[in-house]
Order: sequence, then structure tokens, then C-alpha cells
Amino acid sequence: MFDERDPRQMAQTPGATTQRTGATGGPNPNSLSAPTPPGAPITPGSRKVVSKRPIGTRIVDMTKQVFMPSRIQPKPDIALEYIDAQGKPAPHLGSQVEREFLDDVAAQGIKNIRIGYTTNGKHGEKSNHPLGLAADIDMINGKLVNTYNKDPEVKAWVDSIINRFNARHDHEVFGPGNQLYRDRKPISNADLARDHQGHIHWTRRR
Amino acid sequence: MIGKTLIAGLINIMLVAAGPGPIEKPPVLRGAKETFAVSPSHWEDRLLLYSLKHEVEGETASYVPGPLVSLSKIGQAWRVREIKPVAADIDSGSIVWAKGNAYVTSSRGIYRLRPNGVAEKIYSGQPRGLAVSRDGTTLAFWLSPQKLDVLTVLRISDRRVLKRWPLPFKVQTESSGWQLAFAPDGGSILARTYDEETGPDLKVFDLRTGSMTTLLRDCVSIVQSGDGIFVLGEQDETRDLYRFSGGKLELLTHINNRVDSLTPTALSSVVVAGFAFKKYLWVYDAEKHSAQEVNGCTDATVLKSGQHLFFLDGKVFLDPAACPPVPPAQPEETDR
Repeated sequence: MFDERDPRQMAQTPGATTQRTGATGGPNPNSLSAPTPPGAPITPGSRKVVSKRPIGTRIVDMTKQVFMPSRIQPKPDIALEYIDAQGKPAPHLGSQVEREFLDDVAAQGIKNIRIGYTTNGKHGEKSNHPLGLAADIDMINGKLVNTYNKDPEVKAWVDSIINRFNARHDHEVFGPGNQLYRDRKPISNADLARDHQGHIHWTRRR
Repeated sequence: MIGKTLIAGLINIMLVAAGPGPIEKPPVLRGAKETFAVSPSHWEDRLLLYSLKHEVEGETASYVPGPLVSLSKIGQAWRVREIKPVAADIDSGSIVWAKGNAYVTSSRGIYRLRPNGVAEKIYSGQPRGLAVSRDGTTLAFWLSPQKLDVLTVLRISDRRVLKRWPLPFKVQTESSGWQLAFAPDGGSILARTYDEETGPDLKVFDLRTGSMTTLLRDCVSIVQSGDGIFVLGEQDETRDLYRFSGGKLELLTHINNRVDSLTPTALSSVVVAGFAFKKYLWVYDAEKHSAQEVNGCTDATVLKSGQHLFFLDGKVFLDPAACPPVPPAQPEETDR
């Protein structure tokens, strides 16, 4: 028998939130033991994964930045929540993968992101989810991604995020509206399109 | 001179006879990088599977087609051949056996394979998953027009659709397989469904009444192995292995390691559970209540004769010790 929690999976146990205190530095009032119910908006500031910026670093708009190595960029100011569709805590991405995700998802106007599935849930046989390299976004700024065809605001956010993921050379980018990309190349597949009507799938770049 | 040669020859014969027999070589799948839908015959030492000739990963990998391959063991020799024109991707490729025939789904429809290996197309469409009744008269499979999944039952003799159950697709993640099986009496079908947000359930579809009932929440996989039907369920972080018997699920054992797939064998009491990413296999014998753990291969099965086969990256091994050792886990990287 070997330990299932292989560090290579880069998924952390929900609740291991030592770095996930509120932006003010105090304890997180919304601990993962009391998850936000599905559909509820995320309280801005309550779940930010922003760490203290290095002294002297100024706040910059990530959407206008040319890509630079992530180590010298400040973390984007986005509240991130890990809750699945049933309201259960979802496993966190590993810290490095999460950092990449935050860098990549920082499109214009994005303040809150809810990730429903990382290593949890059931996925296709060759999916990158079990390796902790993929995330499914099902809520943006408190609105469900599955309202893409009904809510112009959601459509704008989803399209903006997908464009940014592609601009950042992410490996797999699938979302509503038949937007399917592998290494920035559009692909066509009815099954894959159907499976991604309600969420944006992201796999880190190779 | 003749006497010396004769004596040397006799000594050679005696040495060969005293040593170990010739080492059996495993079958070779030319050009294969990956195998899936492994399915052994219940009647002979024969196996059908799909092979992929490209190294692929990720969710799009499900949709790379590969050819159907037949492996037969005759004595100590293996015969391997591709069956043209049948090809399938991971999502659409399924193989089942009934009364000596095999039925396979491809990206283009359902084929019946005669014992001589000739493929005859019996249904056009894009089916997913496949089950055949024990009497070999009826097929069940999924069709997915737009936002629905339709469980479809087809009579083979006249290709008539006997029953359809349309279900909405409601899960928040991706589909993760379309396994299904006929109950031993042929009166119902057990299938994983995506019609609940809570994840794939195992439901029973009654062919007589048309009713649909939930048998298990969080069903990871279901497979018919020989005459046995095995079900893998998820309970928190552990997996539970069940056998379907007498209309109910009988809990066989808990599996502490993560496994997310079941592969059939030719034996009714043996099933293979696995987690391909960790190259971990768990070959379980329900009669002996014993399990064999194998590290280093991604899939395995057992033929009718009891011959075990192990698979990794398109290669086949006859001995689990031949599966390459799994390298130790790497610590989380600190920078991109």
C-alpha cells in the first residue's frame, strides 16, 4: 500500500488554510468547515488567498501586464473559494499550481472565483484532475457559469477568462459556448462541449 | 568421430531437458502507446482491446481513436491482429462477449465480431458503453443527443429499438465512463447515470415495467467479469467493491487505496481495480477473498486459462514483476 496523498498530486487537504487567512491578516471567518452553499456569492475579502506583498511592490493591474516570470509578480487580488456543487469543500490546488491559476485567471473584472472540482469528483480516464493539475470554475463573481447563455455579464467574464487562459498558454481550456482549446488550438468535439456547458476547465500550461 | 558426436549430442539433449523450459514471450502490440477497453472472452484464451498509437493525455485524449486488436493464445504462442475497420476512442470504445460472439462499439456504430474475426456493422450511430444480455439477443447502450443521455435497448435479430430512457445530464464535472450491464435474469439493466448533480449513480432500469430505481449513490464503475457483475462505489476517501447478486449489492470489501476503474476478467470471481495515474492495480478474487497488489502497470486482466496479463503504455506483460518499478513521488515543485 502506498500513501494516496502523493505530494506530486499537489492537492492539499481542505481546511489546511494556514496561508488562507483573510486579507486583513485575521482568522478566516468563513472556515471551510462551514462551506458556502452552492449559488451563494462569495463575500469579497473573506477568502482571499492574497499574501503580503513584498515591501515596495506596487499594486498593478494584472490584465495589462506582459507575461513575466511569476516569482516577481504580485498575486492578483482575487477571492478564491473551493466548494463543489453539493456545497462540500473541494481539495485545494497545491500552492504553486494555485499561484499559476491565480495569475492566469486574473482577467478584467474578475474578483471572485469558485472552484468546484480539482482532484475531487469524477473525470475522464485521462483527465489531469487526479494529478492536481486541473481546476473547474463553476462560479465567477457570485454568478454561476451555467448561466452563460442567459446572462451577458457571465458570458463576458467567461469569454474574458478563456481568452486570458489561452494568452497564458494553458494546456486545456474548455468552457461554455463550445469554446474548446488544447494548447491554444481550437478543437471540435460535441461530447467535450456538452460536458463543459456549466464550468470552465483549466489545466496548467506544460 | 561418429561416436564422439553422438555422445556430445546425447549430453546436449540431456542438458536441455534438465534445464528450465523456454520462457514464454508476451504478445507484442506493434506501435501501441496505450490500451483500453480490455475484454477477455469467457470461452477461450482470447482478448479484445483497443490500442492507441499516439501518446496522449488530458481530457481531449478521450477522443483519439485507435484500432481494435485481437490477441489469441494458442499453446504457448500468441496471435495478434488488428481488426479493420473498427476504431474507437476511450469514450466510445466498449467490448462485450456473448455466446462466442463479441460486440464492440466504435466511433461509428456497433459491430458484431464473428468467431472468425469478421466485423459486421449492426448499428449506426455514436453509442457509448455497451452491454449484451446473457442469451445474446439484446444490446443496451447510451446515446447522447444534445443535452440528454438516452439509455437504448436494441434487439439484435431485427435491430429494433425495444426501449429508451432519456435522462438529463446534470453533473457539474465531466462524464467519466458509460459502463452498464444486464442483470443475470435479463430483466433489467444496471447503469451509471449522470442525471443527478450529486454525481454518477448506479440505477436499475426494469425492462418490463420501465421503472428506474437508484441502487447506489456515487458509483465509480460497474463491469461484468465472467458471469459476475462487480460494482465500485465511493464512500468518502475509500472505495467499496460490491458484487451484484440476487437483485442486491453484496459488499465484498473496502479498498483503502484510490482506484477509479474496473477491468473484467474471464473468470466470474476475479476482477481488476486500478488507478492508472498511480500505476496501481488490485486483482481481487471474490471466492478466495484475496487480493494481489501490482505496482507499475496501468491495467490487467485474466484469461479463461488463468493466464494473467498486465498492461503499460501499449506493452503487455505476463508477469507482474515485469511491470516497471514506480519511481518515488517527487516533492511539489517550488517554481514554474
